[in-house]
Amino acid sequence: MSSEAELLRDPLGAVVVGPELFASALGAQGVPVRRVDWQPPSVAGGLSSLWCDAVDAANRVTLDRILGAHQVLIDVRPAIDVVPGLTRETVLHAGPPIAWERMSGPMRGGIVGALIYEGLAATWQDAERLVTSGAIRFDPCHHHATVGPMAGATTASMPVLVVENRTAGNRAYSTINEGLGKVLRYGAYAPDVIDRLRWFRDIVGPAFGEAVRRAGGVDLRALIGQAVQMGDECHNRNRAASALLIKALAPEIAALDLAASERRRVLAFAASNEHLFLNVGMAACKAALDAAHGVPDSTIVTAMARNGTDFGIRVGGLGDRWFTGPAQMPEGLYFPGFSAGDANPDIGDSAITETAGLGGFAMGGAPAVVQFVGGTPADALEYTRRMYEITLGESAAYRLPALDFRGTPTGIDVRLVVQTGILPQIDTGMAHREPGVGQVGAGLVKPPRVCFDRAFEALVQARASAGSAPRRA
Amino acid sequence: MRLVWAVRRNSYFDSIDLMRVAEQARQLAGVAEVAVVMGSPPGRAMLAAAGMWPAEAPEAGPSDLLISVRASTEAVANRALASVEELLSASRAAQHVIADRLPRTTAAAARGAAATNVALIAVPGAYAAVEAHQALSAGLHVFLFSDGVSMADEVALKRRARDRGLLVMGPECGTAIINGVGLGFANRVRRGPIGVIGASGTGIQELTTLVHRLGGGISHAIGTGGRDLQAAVGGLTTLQGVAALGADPGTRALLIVSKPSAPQTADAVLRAAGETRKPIVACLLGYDGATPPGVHTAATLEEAAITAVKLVAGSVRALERPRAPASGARGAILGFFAGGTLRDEARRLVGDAPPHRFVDFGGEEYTRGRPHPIIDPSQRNAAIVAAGDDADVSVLLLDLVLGDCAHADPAGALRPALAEARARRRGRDLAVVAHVVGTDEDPQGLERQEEELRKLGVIVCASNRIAAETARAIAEGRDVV
Repeated sequence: MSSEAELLRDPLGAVVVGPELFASALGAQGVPVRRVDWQPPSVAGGLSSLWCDAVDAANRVTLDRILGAHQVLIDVRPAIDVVPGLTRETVLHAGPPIAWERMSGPMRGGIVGALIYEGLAATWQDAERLVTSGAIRFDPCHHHATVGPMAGATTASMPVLVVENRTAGNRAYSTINEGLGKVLRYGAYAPDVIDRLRWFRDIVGPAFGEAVRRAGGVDLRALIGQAVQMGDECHNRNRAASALLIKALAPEIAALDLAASERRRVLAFAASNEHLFLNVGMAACKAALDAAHGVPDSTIVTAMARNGTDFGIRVGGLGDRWFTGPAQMPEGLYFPGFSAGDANPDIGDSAITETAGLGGFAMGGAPAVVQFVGGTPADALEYTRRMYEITLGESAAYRLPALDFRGTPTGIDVRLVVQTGILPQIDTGMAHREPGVGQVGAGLVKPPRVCFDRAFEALVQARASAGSAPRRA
Repeated sequence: MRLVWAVRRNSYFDSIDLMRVAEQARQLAGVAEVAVVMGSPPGRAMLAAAGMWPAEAPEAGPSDLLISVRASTEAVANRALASVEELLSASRAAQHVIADRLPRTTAAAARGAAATNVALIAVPGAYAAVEAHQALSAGLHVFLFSDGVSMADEVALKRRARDRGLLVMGPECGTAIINGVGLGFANRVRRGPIGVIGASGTGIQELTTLVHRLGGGISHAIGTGGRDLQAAVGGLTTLQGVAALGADPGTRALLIVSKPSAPQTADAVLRAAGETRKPIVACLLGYDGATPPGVHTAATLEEAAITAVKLVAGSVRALERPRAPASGARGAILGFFAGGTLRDEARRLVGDAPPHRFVDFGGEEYTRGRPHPIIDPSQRNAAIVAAGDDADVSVLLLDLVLGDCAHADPAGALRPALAEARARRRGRDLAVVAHVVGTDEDPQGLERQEEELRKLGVIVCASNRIAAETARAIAEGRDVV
């Protein structure tokens, strides 16, 4: 039966976009009505060309791939062995592409630390000479199926988590989280930071890898779903997820062929690191979004990332282009001894969590996080509710008890962002603007609007040329 | 600067709670720094690094709370310390409740609404296509009230809708009745076997209310928007509507009404209508092409309604006609209408030649940035007052439209305007002829409105056609019979 016939047969249910008069007239006739709080779009034109069947179909495929991803942590391996396109002279970094000259303090610190760790330099001056000589290639983690929090510095000998998306077969990678305080990802490069990375390389990485393999992998889709119901949003709050991860791996770590003191040290490190899961979750999000990227005509955002100077987004149907704008200053709370003047602009690939429906988008299930900006649990729910305005789907795996187990808002649509002017809500840590200091606080941040405006223009242009070009086969 | 510190044993707090409290305590005058952390090794290290944990402080464990304040004086520091304790123990009752948020876009409103099947869109024309496309993307039919939508957008919307089996009623669609529910400016009419498809909002209202007066009933009335039968659109919505009503078991006859249209489009519509094998009544203004067998044509809306009711019921109630002897109101007719199609029909019946004048107050030039006269008759009423000064005018011809979205009392709103217009006549006659488009089931009540008009000395007519002919007879100095 055609849909016209259904209209004439079924009871009416209406969305009303316009005067209250029309809504109340329908209500008076017993029709269920959903009103729209309509306001003129915050963009001049071009929107209607992007609401078409081609874009609908592309977004459906994109969304299905994001929501359908089944991520499993399958291994921990040296980056050089698994990360595509990595060489000994490459330093991967967070965010969109950037040259050394424009890098912020923590980004430079992270890179210098990575070069020292790899034995390519001994001091800051050494490293700077090496970098300016052109011997080192910089490239975004995102270009190598990898994501890194904060500076995101990733090099050949670092052990990386290997996450497989069983649905699409692709893999994504991320380093092991170092914990809080003075750590490489915040641009710290002191000897104790380097020592910890070497311990990761020699002991923790191989131990985790063996434990993961013996455990037959860790189902991250299920684990994240569980953690979300335990109060995590898996960006600024990873307590439950980290505990669940340790729970899964501890029996295998306990059985490793390793000195008892080392096994204890590995477990103690894992247990003391509340953000142990952050990098695991990020790789899981990356694995889902990489599988979804590259569908022509898709208007869904497949990456949001910051390098401490620029904020960049990528869009499913716009290939490997980045659409960038200036990284913003987070708003939040500072650790003792630090204040707003110490913070670096927004940095890190961790906004991949929001891109996949976690982080700020799942704040309604993690009300503790909203206190960074003095909010209440009601505010936390409101942050999440607002994100449904700019997303096309709802997660089947991540459900929020406080919203009657509604799935988290997932699949940021550039069209809806530019129409409503509502920007994605990102939870974030804050790095000190000077290299070597570390984390100074945590809070909330938004992308600069211009990223979405630029992506929108590109989408409209792409649509226009698709419309005028000869019909594709 | 003084440093004051305290340890609270076995009082675990979430670190975010602690940062929030520290931030609040930092705001006190004279306070330089406040640190509130749990006594875990990283916490203690952080305090030591910030120079806020003296060596003489006792050992502390991960479940001990460490509070440290640096301030200008010891008294200030102690106050800050106390405020931290207070903040930590304060009730965290929600301070405000956020009202339920309405979705901001059609796309968001349509998502996950299983029982939703239509979007009523009435936003400024430049933005309407976006919302309508969003509705189509969500699989919703569209009732598009907005005007000012470009022809290109209309065609794109309707083609896309047709391919998806969805109806776009509009743009500039004033009314529809789907399954007994009125959308936009609709009247409450009896349900019955007559299906209506129309490019004209007030045309549909006149037809459906006349069918009701005549004892018939309406299955559905599908509005198409005024341009649907123009060549560029090609009758996309009309053809979908004809097919849908043709297949609808509750519809036994089709009534098609249209403004002047492209001949080839009208042909196509009539052909499609003939193929439904149901009785068809067509009231196509300005159409002089051939009519397929089974299609009855009607010259007026009234004739169309009567023909349709007769076709399904065999008989029809008669419409009453007013009677009045010839009056001294011979002269020019001033037709002030809220409905464009009613204006057009009256003009055709009276003849367009001066001195008669016919104005559509629902036309775009009157409604840009203002409410439609069906909702707010004040613009027309002001023109009625001004007509009192026009010595040439002897007959006022009006339509009053009732229904769910219409003015709550259009006859009452007319009273002061008519009184003022008559006062300005300085003794010369002014005949007022009006037709009320409505039913006894409309919120305003047809009888109440007609009675109110009669009290104002208005000659009330049962159809637009009768009203036009009555006005003409008066203007020509003839008896009204």
